[in-house]
Amino acid sequence: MLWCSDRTEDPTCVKAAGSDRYRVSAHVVWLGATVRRTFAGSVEFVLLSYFALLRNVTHTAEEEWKRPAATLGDLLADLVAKYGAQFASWVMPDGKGAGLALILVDGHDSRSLQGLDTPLGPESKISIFPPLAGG
Amino acid sequence: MHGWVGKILRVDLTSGKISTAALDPALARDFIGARGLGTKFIYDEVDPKVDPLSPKNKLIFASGPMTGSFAPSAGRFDVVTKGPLTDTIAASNSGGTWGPELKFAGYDLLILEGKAAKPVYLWIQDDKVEIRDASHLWGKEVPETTDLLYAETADDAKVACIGPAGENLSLIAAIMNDRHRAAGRTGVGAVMGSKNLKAVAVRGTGAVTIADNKAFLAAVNRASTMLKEHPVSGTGLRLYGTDVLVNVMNSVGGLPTGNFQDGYFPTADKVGGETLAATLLQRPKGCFSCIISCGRVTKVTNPKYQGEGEGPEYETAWGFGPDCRIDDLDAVTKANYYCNELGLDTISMASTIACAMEMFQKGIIGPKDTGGLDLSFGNAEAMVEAVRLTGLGQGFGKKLQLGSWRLASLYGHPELSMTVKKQEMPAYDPRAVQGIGLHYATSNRGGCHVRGYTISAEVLGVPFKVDKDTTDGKPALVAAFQNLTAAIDSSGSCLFTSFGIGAPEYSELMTALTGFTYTAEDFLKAGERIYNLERMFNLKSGLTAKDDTLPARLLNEPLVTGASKGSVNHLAEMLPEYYGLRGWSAEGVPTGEKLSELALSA
Amino acid sequence: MSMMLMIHPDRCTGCHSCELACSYEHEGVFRPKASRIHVYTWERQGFSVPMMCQQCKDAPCTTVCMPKALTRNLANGQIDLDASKCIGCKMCVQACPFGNASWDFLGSKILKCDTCGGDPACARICPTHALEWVEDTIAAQSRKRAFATKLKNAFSED
Repeated sequence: MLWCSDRTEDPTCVKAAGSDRYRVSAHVVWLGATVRRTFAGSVEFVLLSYFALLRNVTHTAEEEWKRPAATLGDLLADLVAKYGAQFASWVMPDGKGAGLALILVDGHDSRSLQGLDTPLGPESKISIFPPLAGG
Repeated sequence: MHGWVGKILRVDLTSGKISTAALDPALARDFIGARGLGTKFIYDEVDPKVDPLSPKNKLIFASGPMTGSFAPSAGRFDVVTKGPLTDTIAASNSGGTWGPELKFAGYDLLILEGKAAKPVYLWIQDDKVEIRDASHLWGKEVPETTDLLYAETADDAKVACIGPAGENLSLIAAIMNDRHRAAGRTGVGAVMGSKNLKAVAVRGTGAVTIADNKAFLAAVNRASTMLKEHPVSGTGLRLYGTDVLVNVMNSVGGLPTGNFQDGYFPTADKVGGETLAATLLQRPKGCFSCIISCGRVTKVTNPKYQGEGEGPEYETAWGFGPDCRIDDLDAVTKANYYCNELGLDTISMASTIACAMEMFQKGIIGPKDTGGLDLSFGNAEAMVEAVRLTGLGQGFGKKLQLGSWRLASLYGHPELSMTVKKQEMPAYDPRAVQGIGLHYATSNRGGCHVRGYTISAEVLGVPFKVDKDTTDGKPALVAAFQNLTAAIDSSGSCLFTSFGIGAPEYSELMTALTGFTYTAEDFLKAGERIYNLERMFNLKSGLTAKDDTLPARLLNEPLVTGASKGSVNHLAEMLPEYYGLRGWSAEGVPTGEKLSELALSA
Repeated sequence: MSMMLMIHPDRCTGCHSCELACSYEHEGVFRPKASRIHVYTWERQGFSVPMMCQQCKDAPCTTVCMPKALTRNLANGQIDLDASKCIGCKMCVQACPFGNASWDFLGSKILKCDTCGGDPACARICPTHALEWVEDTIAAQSRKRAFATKLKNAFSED
């Protein structure tokens, strides 16, 4: 992954309002998944995937999270502590749920599960999307 | 009139007669414009049983009252006709800058009738309208046609044209404008080709006026602020385009894969919006008066698939990507460029190739049928070549250009065509998302997502979230989305503004602009009126409730992998309730009571 | 200190909102042909460039203007057009090397940017800040910095 400085004119550097530019390489996503597959079975962890604008805040597309988290709310609280206010504003404003983000636990919308109380398993996959739409 | 410019241009291509007429304000008020007003004229003037490719069909280019103003994203127009792919009413929406130019030239609608004796194009300069010889343009692709027309009309003219696909009467041919924008669906390009009409070039020096300047400016500022502050319309779409949806739909297990054989494609990210932004994207592009700027200016430097243009959008990336089991973004983008250059609908083209690939996989067709093309799933080169051949009407393309339903029927397997009413379904698997399945089944132009985009609520949570896997409440949700969309499509504003604003904002804009009072209820009612009018046309054309269905695969064969594996679509649980709350009979026919309520005659 | 309209074509999406804001501001209707700013789009490359009067210091239009309808405003450095003095000879259209003066046949007047009296509507409406109303002393800074960054990136990884 290559960081792009604030004022670069490079069109492959995607700029979000108020934050640094970030260039995502598809190879990184593949690499992350490969590393996980290579080392799976030795350590238990939750696999986090970040998409679109969220990557500008987390500066990564995938992350293995080894700190234990019993519920989705516990996990998000840890992530908010790590990534700060912008992340929190999308994901868990004011420490409560119903942020703007779309959070999937093993492909299921957390709002159709138990929201922040959704229990997490040892190999849960969490996908977090900022608000997005299209056609 | 304000908003509307109050004039209709009528051109009879058979006789060459050109005339204008005043637009009836009452008609404008009730059917708004673009999709609604165009449909009203087709309904009143065209026999619903007409052969869509006969001179008796009419082709209407219609802008809306907001088109050409600085209302948010107010650049839209519709091409309205009877669609040859589906035999339903067809209203194909497009952006760019062509629609506003028609308004500045002084017309709300252009109605084309009959058939020219040989290829012609129309050149509109305010009140000077000429039918000119197009024999030197016939056979040429969209970019070359556009450039030649700039040279022989005006370099600031706006051009809408067909490519070879429309000339060959391909049922999946599009009408292209501004070189890269498409009125894509339902074969409207073939109707234009059937009239021997190659292009419509327009240049306008006039104005769109406002009823209440201060109120309109205030309404526009409010709406623009809401759109800028919403993360989707304010930033997300400009950075990533619609293609950002690939990863979402794949993650919920609803990304149709391999001609809807499954709902999950492991390497989908390689053709997603994040990858596109990091590789092929040059800069974003905006249509007329638009802050959302979701357009993608792209370039492929890989010599195998070299090219430049706009796109791919989500539907295109899905169709030429996961639906064909392909994850090569360069190839997908090249296929997209071919569609724009040759004038093809990307959704129908991609899904038709995916259907051919399934028949190839199952041995129903082989290299001797495809002219040697190895149409195995995943073969990106063959897919790109198939698009090129279809656009030119050559080789196996002669069959592909009919769309998947007629293609699959030719070989005795219509059940492998992923269509509703013979139009290809877009990039959302109804087994993973119940409500969109109901919309696919009941959309007035067959397989279509955009006119009842419940994905917004069912998956994305915009503007609110509902459970995608339940059928509860879906009939009401689908009907509400369909009605609001019909009204927005008719106003001239882009549907994407609905990610940030709603009926109250649209009605405020309409009232201040036109001087007619629209409450939010009036706006939605107009949408419901337009929706029912389309339904009436389709019923008279010969469609019945039997056609409000989904392919058997989606009703009976559960998804195999992905987050929604094991699911099917439960259409039967939703359809009767949908008819009921629409005020239709059990056979899906609007009742007399409903028609009077909407001031429509039977 | 004076202000100038800075053009950033790399940010322009070709939406023509500036033309609409300009015609609305000056004419009260939406008529891009009456706009004082025009956007040119190269469709193949998807690149757009807005153009308007550059308020030249040594303006050829003022030199050729016989009735002195076009004059240089010493207070703000802009070229003012006094329509009451204009005889419509269109010599300014001939003289402007950038083509930024045009004749509106419908309104029978010269169209030339007047910065909306110091608060340009086009810069206000532009959704991507392709038009910026900035102090002329710092106007070029962002472009200079952007290219300086390219040089820096040639030498440094981060």
